[in-house]
Amino acid sequence: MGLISDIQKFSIHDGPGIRTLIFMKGCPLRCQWCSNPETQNHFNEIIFIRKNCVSCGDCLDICPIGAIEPKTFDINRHICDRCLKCVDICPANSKIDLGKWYTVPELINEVESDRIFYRNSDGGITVSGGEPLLQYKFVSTFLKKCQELNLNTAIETCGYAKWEHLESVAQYTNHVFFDIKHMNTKIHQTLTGKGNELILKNATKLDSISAITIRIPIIPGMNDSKDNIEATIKFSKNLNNLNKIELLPYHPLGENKYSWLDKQYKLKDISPMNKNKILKLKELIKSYGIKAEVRENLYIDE
Amino acid sequence: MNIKEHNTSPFQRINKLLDKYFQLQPSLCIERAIIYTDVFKNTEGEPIIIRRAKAFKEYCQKKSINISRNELIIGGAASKPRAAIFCPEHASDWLKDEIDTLDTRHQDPYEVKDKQKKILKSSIFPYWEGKTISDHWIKQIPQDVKQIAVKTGIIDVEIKTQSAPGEIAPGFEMIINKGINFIINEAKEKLSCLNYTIPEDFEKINFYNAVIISLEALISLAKRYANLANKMMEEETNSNRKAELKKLSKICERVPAEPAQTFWEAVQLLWFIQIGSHMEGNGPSYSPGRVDQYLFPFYKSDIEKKELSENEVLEIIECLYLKFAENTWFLSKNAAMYFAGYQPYQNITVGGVKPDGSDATNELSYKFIKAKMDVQLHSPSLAVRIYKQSPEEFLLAVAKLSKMGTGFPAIHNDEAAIKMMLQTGATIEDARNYQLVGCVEPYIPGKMSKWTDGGHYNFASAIEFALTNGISLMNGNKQIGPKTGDPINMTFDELKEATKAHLAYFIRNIAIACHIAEKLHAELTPYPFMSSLIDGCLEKGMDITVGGAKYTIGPAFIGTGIADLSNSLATIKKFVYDNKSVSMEQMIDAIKNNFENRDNLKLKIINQSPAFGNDDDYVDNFAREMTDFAFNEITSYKSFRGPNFISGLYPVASHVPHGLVVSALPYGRLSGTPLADGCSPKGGTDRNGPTAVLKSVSKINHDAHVAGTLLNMRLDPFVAKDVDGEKRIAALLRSFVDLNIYHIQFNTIDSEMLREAQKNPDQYKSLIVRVAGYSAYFVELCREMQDDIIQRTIHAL
Ligand code: SF4
Ligand code: SF4
Repeated sequence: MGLISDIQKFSIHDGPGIRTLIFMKGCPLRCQWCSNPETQNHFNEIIFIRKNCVSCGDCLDICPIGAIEPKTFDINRHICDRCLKCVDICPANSKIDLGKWYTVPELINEVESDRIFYRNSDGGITVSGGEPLLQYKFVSTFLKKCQELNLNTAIETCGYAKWEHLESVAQYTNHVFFDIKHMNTKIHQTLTGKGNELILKNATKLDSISAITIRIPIIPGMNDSKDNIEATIKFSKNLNNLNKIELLPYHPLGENKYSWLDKQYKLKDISPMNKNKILKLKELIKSYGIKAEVRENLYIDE
Repeated sequence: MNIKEHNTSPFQRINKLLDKYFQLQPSLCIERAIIYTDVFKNTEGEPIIIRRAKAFKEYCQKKSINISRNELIIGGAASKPRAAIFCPEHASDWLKDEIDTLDTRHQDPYEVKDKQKKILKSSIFPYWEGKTISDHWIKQIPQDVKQIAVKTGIIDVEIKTQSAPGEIAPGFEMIINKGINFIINEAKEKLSCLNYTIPEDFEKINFYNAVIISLEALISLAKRYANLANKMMEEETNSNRKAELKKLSKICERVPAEPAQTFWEAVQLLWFIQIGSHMEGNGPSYSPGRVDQYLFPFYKSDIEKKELSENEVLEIIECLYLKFAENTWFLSKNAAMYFAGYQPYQNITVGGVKPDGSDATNELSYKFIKAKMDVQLHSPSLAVRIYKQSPEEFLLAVAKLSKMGTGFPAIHNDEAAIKMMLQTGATIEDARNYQLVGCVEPYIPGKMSKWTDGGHYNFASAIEFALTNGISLMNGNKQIGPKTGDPINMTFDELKEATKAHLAYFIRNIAIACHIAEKLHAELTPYPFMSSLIDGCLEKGMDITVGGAKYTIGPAFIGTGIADLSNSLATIKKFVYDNKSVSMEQMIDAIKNNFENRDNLKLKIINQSPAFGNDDDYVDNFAREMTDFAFNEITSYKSFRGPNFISGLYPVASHVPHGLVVSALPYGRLSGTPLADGCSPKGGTDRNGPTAVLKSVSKINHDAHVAGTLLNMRLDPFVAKDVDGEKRIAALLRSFVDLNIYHIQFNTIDSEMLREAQKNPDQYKSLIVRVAGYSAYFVELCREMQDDIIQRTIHAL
């Protein structure tokens, strides 16, 4: 079984055509800018959306171990054993469990429903997260089945996994979107909690078995220096199977999710995304003869 | 948006005409009422069809006419542009009651002068009292029908007692190629073979005489325009305009009497037929249809002969569009709620397949789309036909126009539409040649007579009544529906059966009310002008109102709010029957109290109910079951003219007024708020994006609902702007065809812009939004409808 936090249909920014995007729950990295913090932990996790709460007190009454704070209805996450009773009773979509377990046939059933749209748009399935490789067995079986059923497959990975795990998934994948967050392993460690050696090694190995799109999240003041981007471009240039480089400008849309999880958002004071800078970086990539795209069009005026 | 932004045409002439257009207010025109009343007073005792032909003739000969500077297509149905013609023979009592509030009312006010009021009150209203269709109808419908059909809002059958049936398209192709004199001669020939001594011939003689009078009348109107153009030409100092007026004068000398020889003549001829239709009875949906097909030979030959350049063709089309926007329907306060936005529903159709099944898309198809981008007015409605093999370029052009956020074009699926037409008994060639009339109704050009708005009902009232044992909570707790029993101890299936019993009751009452309206049109308001242009009538010597057309179908009963009913059933099934977390008593109590002080229950329901539009069979299956049921009930009754009634699932704007009389519903909708429109999900409840919406909607058997079905889908313009936006719309459209859905239209305006428009209407005069099947100026809609549009779910594309 695979633990999934969300399935998003009509996805249009993660691979060609109209796709269904599957968010696997659990990730080995802790990037400071992560906009999907609910996908970081590989276990059922309750979010508390305070603005939806109508203070009915039902959760307080039902919690068998007193893990709900009286007045605020906050969850005491130290003692909560995730029995989900409060989730079941909450009428207001305020306490929600963001993890759902799927078998492969269940997930196939789910993605089959949009087949007509994949077919007419050259789209398909993209497994993202979280980190799909954390649940490599499930993902590999699922993608294998997808390919048997003639569905185009893609994954989005941070690259931090044992090579065998990556390989087991990549062999059933038509497109790999591979994140490179920083070329300097020390900074990488600070920004994400892990060094980049394994990631870069995996990228090089992957090159021999799969077409790769390198994705760089552009986080103002953290990894957007010309030096770092140029280093990433040079690294990518050495890949034989490089498709293109995509830039993903930072956006703050994930911020409110941190408070739902009672987590600290570290990027509160980040300087705003500079549109010109993004376009310059795009030109820089192109100057190396590599195809470049800016993925989010949130800040791009045409 | 700056008000100047409506000037998007590449042609100076068009931008000037647009400037002028936006100065106009919809107003009332009583010329026709005065002339018809005079003629009727002087012809008492003559056959009704002759009286109407004579009145039409007098109107053609006496009406005010004018030609505006810059116009290349000339002529108007009313005394001035955007004036609405009042036809007292259909209904005059409503205007009598509303005349003093006509210019101040909430939805669709019309300017009216004191002098007009005086004339109406002194000589028009008194003459027609007791003589109109509406007056007869109210006296003839049975008491029990009246109880549900008049002013309850549960069903609405009054529209066809208030105006001409409309929803028709004369055979433009035939008229343009043969000219009206040809038809007059045919009528004369027929007449010469008839004999007053034969009883059956009697009515036919009247019919043919009426046809001849009416058609000659239109020719005389064209000649008046020719003379006016000539006179203006003599006074004109600008040499370019002088030449144009000279040409126009020559054109109007020739058409519509003789066949068109050039593109310009063909378009002017089309326009004369269009205004003639409006003048005979100001009904809705007179629709020129497949202009890209029947105008193509003229276009091609003019281009080849270098008579016109490509640009000049486009300019003429844009001039024609401006004329369409001048035609204005005239409606009572109540009817304007159902058909909001002054829309006369004149539909132009491009693309699709030809009668032989080959691709019909041509250069003109693209020009009519381009013209719609340049002239962004609410009318004409532009419909496109697509099918499995439509060229990608055509779909991209459709996507490009869709992205502009005007709600145009309405996109129709040939696969479903052709099946619908075959069900009416049409030949396969005729079926493939369908066009659209009104919002979304498929129709066979020049060969069909159908009423597509015979009656409106809503699905939501059926579940309300099942839960109240037939009592209407919003009509002073009156027993309006049959007693289907106390729901408390019903099984779910019994509750569903009770719901169906109420639906069946609505439908039965519409059938009765409709019979009487149809019969009255036949007795009181034959349409000899229109009939002469519809295949079959001339051969048989019979008016359309008595079944003269080659294909007589309908009337149609139009249902709205299927999502409301499906969501309600799914909610009850889930909470009351499946997980038993809510009791039936609690549910009924919440509905009776509009969920007041029942916040937890309401929240739980709103957050956890399955909703139509999310590709979830648990709820979607109810949509299929209930629409199939309505279809079977409707088609089980025969209409006055013989064929079975037909079913449609599009609301025009009726989801708003119907909503006003529907109590709170089990799925958490509050009383009085708008229902879901047509087959669309309830705004805000479709949480899984456009693909899931299409999947859900595809579970309804569209091809059974011969009068048409409607799906409105709102798209976020912000994402549609993306480079691949058009390709994605095209891919969605191909999927829409594969899913056998009949119609879709996109609304890509963002809510912020609409809120802004509510605050500053003056700066948004040219802003068009699609409200349930048609487009209207946003600022001209009433507040409730504006709010409804804002509330719809925004999909990213
Ligand atoms: S999940 Fe269970 S233990 Fe945790 S807060 Fe909710 S009810 Fe209490
Ligand atoms: S059950 Fe939900 S709404 Fe009620 S107090 Fe708890 S979190 Fe708030």
